Amino acid sequence: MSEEQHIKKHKNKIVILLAAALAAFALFSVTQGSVKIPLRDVAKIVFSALGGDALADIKPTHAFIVLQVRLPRIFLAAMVGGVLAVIGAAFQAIFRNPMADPYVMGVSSGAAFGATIGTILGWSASFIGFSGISILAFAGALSTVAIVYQLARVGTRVSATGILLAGIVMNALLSSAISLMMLLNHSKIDKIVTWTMGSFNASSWDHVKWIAIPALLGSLMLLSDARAFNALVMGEEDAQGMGVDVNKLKRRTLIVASFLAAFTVSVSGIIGFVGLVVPHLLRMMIGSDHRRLLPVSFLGGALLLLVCDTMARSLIENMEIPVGIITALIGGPFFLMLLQRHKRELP
Amino acid sequence: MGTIQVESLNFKYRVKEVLKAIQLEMKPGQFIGILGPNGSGKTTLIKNICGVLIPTSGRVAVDEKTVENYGKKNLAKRVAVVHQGGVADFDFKVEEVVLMGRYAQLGRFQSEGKEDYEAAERAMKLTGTEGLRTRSIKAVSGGERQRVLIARALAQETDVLLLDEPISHLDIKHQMEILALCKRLAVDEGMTVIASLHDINMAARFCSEIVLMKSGEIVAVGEPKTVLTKERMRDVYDIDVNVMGQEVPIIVPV
Ligand SMILES: Nc1ncnc2c1ncn2[C@@H]1O[C@H](COP(=O)(O)OP(=O)(O)O)[C@@H](O)[C@H]1O
Ligand SMILES: [Mg+2]
Repeated sequence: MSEEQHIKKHKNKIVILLAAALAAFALFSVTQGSVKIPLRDVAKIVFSALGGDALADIKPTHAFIVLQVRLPRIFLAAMVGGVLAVIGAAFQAIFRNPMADPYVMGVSSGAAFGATIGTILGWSASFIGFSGISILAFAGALSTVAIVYQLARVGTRVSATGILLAGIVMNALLSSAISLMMLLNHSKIDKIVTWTMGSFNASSWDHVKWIAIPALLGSLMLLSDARAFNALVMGEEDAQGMGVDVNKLKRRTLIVASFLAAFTVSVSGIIGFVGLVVPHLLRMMIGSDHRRLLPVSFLGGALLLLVCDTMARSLIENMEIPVGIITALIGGPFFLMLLQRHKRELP
Repeated sequence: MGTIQVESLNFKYRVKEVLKAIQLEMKPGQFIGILGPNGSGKTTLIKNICGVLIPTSGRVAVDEKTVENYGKKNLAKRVAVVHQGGVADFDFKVEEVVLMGRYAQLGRFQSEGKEDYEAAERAMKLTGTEGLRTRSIKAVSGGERQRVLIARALAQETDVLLLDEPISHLDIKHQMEILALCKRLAVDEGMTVIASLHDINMAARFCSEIVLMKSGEIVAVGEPKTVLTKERMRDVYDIDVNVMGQEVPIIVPV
């Protein structure tokens, strides 16, 4: 076997391994939680829900927990994790910087700002199963992205540095505004802080439906630019020389990826590190070819966030840890380790 | 095919006038060396030719058609370019980098076919980079990387090849190899090869034409021995030289 075939096989192994691990862990995850439900019962419940026989020996509450609580939550966590990792990889490509994350365009602070206003107003409206807070978070995220984009735009060109700077400025502005609102509304601080730490606490099939189509379409759109991302990370001028319309590519990616990021925060709040760590780690394992990196990142992100969310809801009895805390607790040290390693590679 | 015409080209960065009234014609089979001191506008001229920069006035035409009027992909099928500057913090194998040269030939969801692998193979052979194919682009030497980037450009199978200071950081052996390759591409493959260079004697030895620049203007164009005179070296570089050599001038500073 040639070295090349060997490497290909090795890389395919990672795809299969990740997909298998994801499926296996999803099954395990359904059985976990405040009530342990054996896998056999889970199978029966799912089978009957799909039109099989009635459930003689299964408690209705268990059926409810599996079908209406755990399964949508598992789907959602996996999907959000996958999307975060894919957009992390895409942002890293267009900024040509492996340290970029899904929130570079200000999605997180914009969403937090919207959610804070929603919380303070106590806006109880809901829309296809979404709280007013989620809706305002979504709106806040998109408006912030639009402002950052406008600030960084020169004619039809967008500069990476411009985006990073505008993002930092908007972040600082909005964070201060949020702090001020919290100070003036002491009683709501808890709720706001919890929201910003991210959670899949209230997941439902409505959330899954809301995010599934954009997640799929958006990820495919990004994947269709994979070859252009490869060229782009070699240098913008080089990429243009190879035939890439660099400005269009950057514009398209910023818009698609930021929309996706806004969708994710609207269902789960802010979840850090997944979009940063997963593509980074996988790039070290399989290289930078985005045709492979993007799909593998989706699987890796889905697995990581599902694991973290399962921990979030089962580590401490009768208490839910915000999943953002867990991703940061796992992701932070891990990332420091990568940085250490990187430092050693430098001269 | 592969004729380049630069017609009354002026270029400004904001207000700074960098290229003034550039008039040039470059033809297939020529290996053109652009010479001139630092800041004389060599890089800016190359970027105007490949469409990274748009002329403030005048135009650049490739096979009679203005560069801006080509779509990005169509231009990349005619003109390949290796800019100066390093490789980013992303890891690719040499072979993957060379295959990137096929971008313009492939559709959105299309993967590389036999033709593409063959083009990459030819490019690696011409540049002597076959042995590096599974190495990481981050882990090869400066000379090797330059050859890999040239291979990527050659995989585009264009008529025109532009190189910005392709030999500046290389040792003498690799300098010779790359310039010999450029000459071969022009003479044997009929390409139009344009490179900005600093080494006057190397340029004189390998190039068929020299474009000598000073402060954004072309001072002289033509065969090395007609362009590279004592007076011009004094004028352009502000140094006194002796010109030796018969067919190929050899410039020796005094
Ligand atoms: N991005 C830029 N903005 C403004 N001036 C520039 C820029 N790039 C180059 N210049 C100026 O244009 C002139 C020509 O530069 P350049 O084309 O890089 O010269 P060369 O490649 O011959 O060294 C120099 O005076 C340089 O300072
Ligand atoms: Mg230069």
